[in-house]
Amino acid sequence: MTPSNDSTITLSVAGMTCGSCEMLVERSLKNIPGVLSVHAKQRKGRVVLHIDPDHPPSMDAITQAVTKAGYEIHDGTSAPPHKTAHESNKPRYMEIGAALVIIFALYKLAQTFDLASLAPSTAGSLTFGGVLLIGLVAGSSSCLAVTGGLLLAMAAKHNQIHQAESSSQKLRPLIQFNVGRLVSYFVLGGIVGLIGTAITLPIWTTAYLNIGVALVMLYLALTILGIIPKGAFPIRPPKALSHWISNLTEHDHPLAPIALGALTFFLPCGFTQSLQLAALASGGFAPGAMSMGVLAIGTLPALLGISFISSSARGSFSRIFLTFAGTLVFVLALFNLRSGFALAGFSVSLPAQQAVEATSENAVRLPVITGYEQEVRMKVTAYGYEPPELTIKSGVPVRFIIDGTQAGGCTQGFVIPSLGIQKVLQPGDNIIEFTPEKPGRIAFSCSMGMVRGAFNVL
Amino acid sequence: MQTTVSIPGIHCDACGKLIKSVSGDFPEITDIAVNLTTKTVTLTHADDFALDDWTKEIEGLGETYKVQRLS
Repeated sequence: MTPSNDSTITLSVAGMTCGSCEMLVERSLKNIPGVLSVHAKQRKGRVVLHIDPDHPPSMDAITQAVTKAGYEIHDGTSAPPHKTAHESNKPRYMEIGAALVIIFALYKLAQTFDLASLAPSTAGSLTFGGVLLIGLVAGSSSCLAVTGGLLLAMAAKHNQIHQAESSSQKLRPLIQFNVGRLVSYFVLGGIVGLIGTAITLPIWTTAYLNIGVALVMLYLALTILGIIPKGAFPIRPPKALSHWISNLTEHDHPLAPIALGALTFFLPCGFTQSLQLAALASGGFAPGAMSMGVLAIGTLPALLGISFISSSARGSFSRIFLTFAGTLVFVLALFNLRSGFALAGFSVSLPAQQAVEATSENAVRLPVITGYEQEVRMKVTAYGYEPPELTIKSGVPVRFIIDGTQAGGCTQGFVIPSLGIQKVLQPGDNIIEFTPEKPGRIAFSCSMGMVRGAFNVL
Repeated sequence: MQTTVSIPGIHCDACGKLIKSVSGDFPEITDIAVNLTTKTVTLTHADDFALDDWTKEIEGLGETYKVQRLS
């Protein structure tokens, strides 16, 4: 302990692990004669006392009070905080690494068994049974990456803050999220049917929405894993924004999870978009509301599964759950971030992806020039675009024919952000016409930015 | 007389001690038992004990403390 100047004393106190500890220490010390105010900082293991310089408190009384409260005073402020006391708040890199390995292995496994397809077959007529099936598939595939990731992030964060709550209490916000989602799908689906226009936001909005969701997830993942302390941003966005994010994700107000769930309607998921078309074709509130509502119900099993698992996590399993969920959310956040950037028109390719592009034979395939226009063909497959890279000439009108026969779910939405082109692919040939003005690259992707490709303009 | 309340925000030993420490300011409380597993607090107190005042003090400690009366 060191009197840094006449009126303050800084103590190094070990054993404080939570907010309650801080308050307990503060309460124990503030009634000692001569102590004017106490400020305990659990994370630093420090307690700062403001004292009356004329009547300083007795050190014995301070030591006694801290010991009685169940904590220990270290001599010298430079002493490192007690290790065991702080372990629970330190990022557990070993566990995070293990979780990463498991997630990667699971992904590879899913890929081997053809489960990681971005465009699971959703062929079939749009009966409510068919829509329900689409929902089931959507809920357990690409859409899960965003909506499920968001839910998981929320659940893990809630568990971390409210460790003490019972399972049913932990489940409450997650149910609210799903209710919000269900209601918004139902109502907005009905509106789509009524007004006969699909509610799609401009590409740039969905791009920033995607990036926004990804950043929220990234922030949550990093705080869950303890890599950045709660409330601290490595990059400092405007205070209002960070407050808004943390309020929305950590606030106990029941409207927050409901709003977050409702917001998922606007995530540019191909499943949602293609069903919006069906809803608007239905031409009425009730059928539109029914088909969108049924879609949301279809996604429920997967989302509720996440909810139940995360809310029933207890004891040491709860800690493992937090680490695993945090890592998974982190990975999904990066995935979504990349998708968001692709939608915003930045062509972000990872080295691995470029290698694939370079080896595909299409890199040299030149367009067929017929008269005054050039024709390029591309096929949508369950694994992406074939070919993913197309070569065209500048100044010549392009007739871009996309074979959408195998397009399903996510890949049904097709966007060329820089040209402002947004299309829902139909089975068979889909034609997009435009004229590239100058050489360079024109990126395109599915509506979520998950499947990507580009024109190489010569 | 005994009163049992549920405080879901209790999560560690320090919470229990904190609640006991606050309760020390209430002379009407003769005994207090904090159960960390069930997140309940059982108070043994005199008849004129003002539960509302105590609840106010406890809830003032932090927003995770919400007192719900059980019996």
